[in-house]
Amino acid sequence: MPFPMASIEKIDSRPSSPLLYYTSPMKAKTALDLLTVFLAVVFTGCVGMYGRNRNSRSSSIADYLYPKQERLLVNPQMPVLELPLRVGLAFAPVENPWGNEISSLQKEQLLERVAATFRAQNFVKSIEVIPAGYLRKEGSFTNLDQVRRLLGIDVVVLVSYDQMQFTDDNLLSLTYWTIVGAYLFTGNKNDTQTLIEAAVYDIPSRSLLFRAPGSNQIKSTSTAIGTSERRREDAAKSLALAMDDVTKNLDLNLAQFKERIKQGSANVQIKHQPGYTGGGALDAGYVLLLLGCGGLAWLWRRR
Amino acid sequence: MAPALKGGPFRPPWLTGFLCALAFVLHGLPPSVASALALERTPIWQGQLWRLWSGHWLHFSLSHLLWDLLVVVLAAGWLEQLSRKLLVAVVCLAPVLISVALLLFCPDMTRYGGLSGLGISLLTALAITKLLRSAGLPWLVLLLALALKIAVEALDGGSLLGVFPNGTIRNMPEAHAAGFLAGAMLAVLWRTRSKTDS
Repeated sequence: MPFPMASIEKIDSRPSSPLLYYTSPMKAKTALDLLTVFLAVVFTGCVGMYGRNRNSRSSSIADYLYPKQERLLVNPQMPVLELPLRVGLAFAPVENPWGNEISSLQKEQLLERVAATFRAQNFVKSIEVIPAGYLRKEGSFTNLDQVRRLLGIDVVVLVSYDQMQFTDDNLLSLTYWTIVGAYLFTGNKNDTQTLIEAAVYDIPSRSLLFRAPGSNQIKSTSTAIGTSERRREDAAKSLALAMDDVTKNLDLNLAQFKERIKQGSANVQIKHQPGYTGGGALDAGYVLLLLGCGGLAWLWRRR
Repeated sequence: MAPALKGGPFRPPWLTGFLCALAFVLHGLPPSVASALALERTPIWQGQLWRLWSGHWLHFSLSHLLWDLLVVVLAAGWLEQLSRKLLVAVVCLAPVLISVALLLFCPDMTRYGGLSGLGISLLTALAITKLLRSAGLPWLVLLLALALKIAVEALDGGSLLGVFPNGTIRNMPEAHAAGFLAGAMLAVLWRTRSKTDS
């Protein structure tokens, strides 16, 4: 039975390739729409993803002083503080494989804030920032002994830090779809959290004398393009504010430490270095003794 | 002539006033002059023996001077009412004895300043003089309290922190102990001499 012609024509009217099959005006428009949506999603998605991440950097006093597990048990001796003290200041060294460390200049500026606290103390003879090159990673007390001999310090203030940064999108990040919005609208939320701790060690006795923590949290917003710069600014600002907090606590803890020494509960011995100047000083106690005795004598005579 | 130990009518304490004025004048001296009077180990060994006495009159701050002088003025003024000569003896000899004790027993000390040792000597001499004149229990209490306070100071490491504005200066309870012994010794010797003469 011969094939009907109409059927043959219908079959022949089909395109010879699938691509040609979709070139009908109606279907081509649909394909274009889909492509547009796809590209928009891909590119604006890229912009939306730009700068969204979390970042952290830290240094640890424990890693520096007690790098090996078997050396965790360092037996501290009774500290003998020879006044006036010579104090060294340093950040606990860290080897960061991502190069995300605080810059040396920034470290020096931060340590100067702590140094000011110690300079105000009358029992401190000198205080100096230990150059970063003097401290080895995981150097422990052996390294501190070397620094002590090189710089002539008795006590070291080791500073450690832990900083984390988070960046997320807010509603304004929808404007990033327009590309221009990434430059104009602050669609990124940044959160910077910093924790700093200063620990004061007597090097010869390996004893922790006292410690002072400090913390800070900064929240900010930024454009997609400005996020990186903003995060750097936040990091620096948060470190500085946390260090201010440390110096405040250091002042407080230093006063408490002196009070504990006076009460005899600080477990340290105080000595003076050879060649000191002596001073004979009387206090109100002696005046009260004399006046009290005078009053008692007067009453005694009248009885 | 026997030293006068009996109390009598009020005597103007001009010697105490003079000592007070002397302390202020010496405190106001320029550093170049004051350094020639300071109690320093090396110059003393070289023969500058006046430093054994003069060094006590130099102070490291105005508050240091005022606290020391307050005790000295009260004790000296009272002692002057009992015996001006004993006061002269204590003021002349006690600083020298204290200095010798410090140089011998504090070998790491290179300089010293402050009237506190003399203040303790005066307090002790006053208490012993009163006690020997049978003035009774209150003066015995003063003596014991003085000894106790000096012992507490010597054992209290905290007093070594923060007494002086300059951290290189150490508070010296040893000077107080030496002052106590010097004052006691001078008062007893004075009393013994008084009895012998009479």
